[in-house]
Amino acid sequence: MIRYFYLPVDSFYHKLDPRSKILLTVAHLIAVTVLIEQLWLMFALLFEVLFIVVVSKTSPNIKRIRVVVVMVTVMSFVSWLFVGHGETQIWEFLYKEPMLMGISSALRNSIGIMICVALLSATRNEDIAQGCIKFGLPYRGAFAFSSALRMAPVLLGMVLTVFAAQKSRGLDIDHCSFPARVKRSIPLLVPAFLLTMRSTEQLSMAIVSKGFGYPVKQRGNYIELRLKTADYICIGYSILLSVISILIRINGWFSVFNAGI
Amino acid sequence: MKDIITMWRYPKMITLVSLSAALYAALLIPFKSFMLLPGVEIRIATAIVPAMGILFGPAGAWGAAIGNLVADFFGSIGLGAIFGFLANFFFAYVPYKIWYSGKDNLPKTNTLKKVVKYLICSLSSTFAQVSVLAFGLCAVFSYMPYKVLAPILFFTNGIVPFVLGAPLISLFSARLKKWGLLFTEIMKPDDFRTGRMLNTIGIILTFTGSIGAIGVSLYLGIVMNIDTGLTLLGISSPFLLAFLAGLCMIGMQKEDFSGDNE
Repeated sequence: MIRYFYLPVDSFYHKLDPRSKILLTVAHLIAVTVLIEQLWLMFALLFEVLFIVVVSKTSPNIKRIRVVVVMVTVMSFVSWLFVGHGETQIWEFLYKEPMLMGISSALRNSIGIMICVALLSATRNEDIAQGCIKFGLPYRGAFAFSSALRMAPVLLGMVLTVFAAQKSRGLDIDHCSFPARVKRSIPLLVPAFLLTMRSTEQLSMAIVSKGFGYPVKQRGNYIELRLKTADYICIGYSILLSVISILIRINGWFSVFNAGI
Repeated sequence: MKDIITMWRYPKMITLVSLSAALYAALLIPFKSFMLLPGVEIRIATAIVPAMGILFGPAGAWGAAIGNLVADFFGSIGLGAIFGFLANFFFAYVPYKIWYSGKDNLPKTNTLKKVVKYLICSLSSTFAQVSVLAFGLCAVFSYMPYKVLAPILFFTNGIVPFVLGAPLISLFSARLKKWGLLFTEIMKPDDFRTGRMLNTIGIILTFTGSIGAIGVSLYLGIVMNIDTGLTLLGISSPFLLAFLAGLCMIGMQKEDFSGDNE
């Protein structure tokens, strides 16, 4: 069963404003997206993100999803290796450019996952939503997003309860092949869907009774966000990282191979 | 497409967005480990997406988009998640638009004609999703080759809703209608584009835009080895613009809406 990612530990990264953490995450995602050909810089970013993971004490969550990280890394490399087009032949069907592109893709995806897991591990759902609102996302959209983020583990638990109820009635989805397991799980979508939607009326009444939907110019919030010196340094670093990455990409500096893009 | 904005006035629709997003995410997350490509995994949850669009309208579309984004946080997040968000939005939005562009629009698949109508909606939603997602991941971000990604997306996202969606709609619609959760019972006709004069042109543009984007991109990838980058982006963009223009033209009829609205 999935649990929330948030880890309630005391770290420097936890104390940052959610806006600076979101900007730092986006800056890293921009950097790994544009620095396709700059492999050494990607390795540097990887070490930097690993440093953030260690400093933020969020490595338990990285361990939790290590299977996903490994799968993404391997599949990124393999998909380019056998299908990409290159000019410098190494051996038989192996070419240098797709191989390097595969390494670049593997680094990009694994860095992206780790920096986002660090964000989720060090920031509560409510803080993420409030940070998005401060960035201009309408309150209702942020509410829908944070509600979905909060309810996903709860609904997964409900789906697993439906599975358990059917198993107690003789449904065998454990001692069979993966395709058979999928086929037997499909009819369980119906009760899961209807059980979820049944609570719509109550939830909508609950939020309306708390004033949701009244047109207000300035909505107050229990969570008050204030930027501190460390946040400004983090934001400055994020902007610098993004701008420098884009400049490097445009000018082709530190390029290790030609991706042909 | 003004319905995607006007629906946020209704708390019940916002609740439907949250719940459908949470359920979609809950059904996607367990399969994140079974990855075929980075960010592309086996997706049983896609069975409910066209149904979400047809039953909940724009709320289903926003729910699919947000649900996919939430699930991405658990394994495949990156800038490509932006296009995952858009692709899943259209995955539910397109079948809803095409379903309600005709005459007999009750969300029930109890006749052969209705089943065929649903299959057309499901196909159109798959084309829309593949064209948008592959455009973003391959042409914009150069994450992986187009000729690898597009066929796999058809396999992982297209088969399950095509096969299972029609019976799911019939199973869900009666109960949801009784609970007053169909979007036609919550929202008002003024919240939508009504008038169906341009529907035929709109549907043609929607189909040709999405299929054209995929066809041209696959041609460039297989024949000319242009799998990523600006050339691919430049050539496939007009098709996607045509697709969007087509969606904007499709309208609904006022008779589809019932009396009691919020």
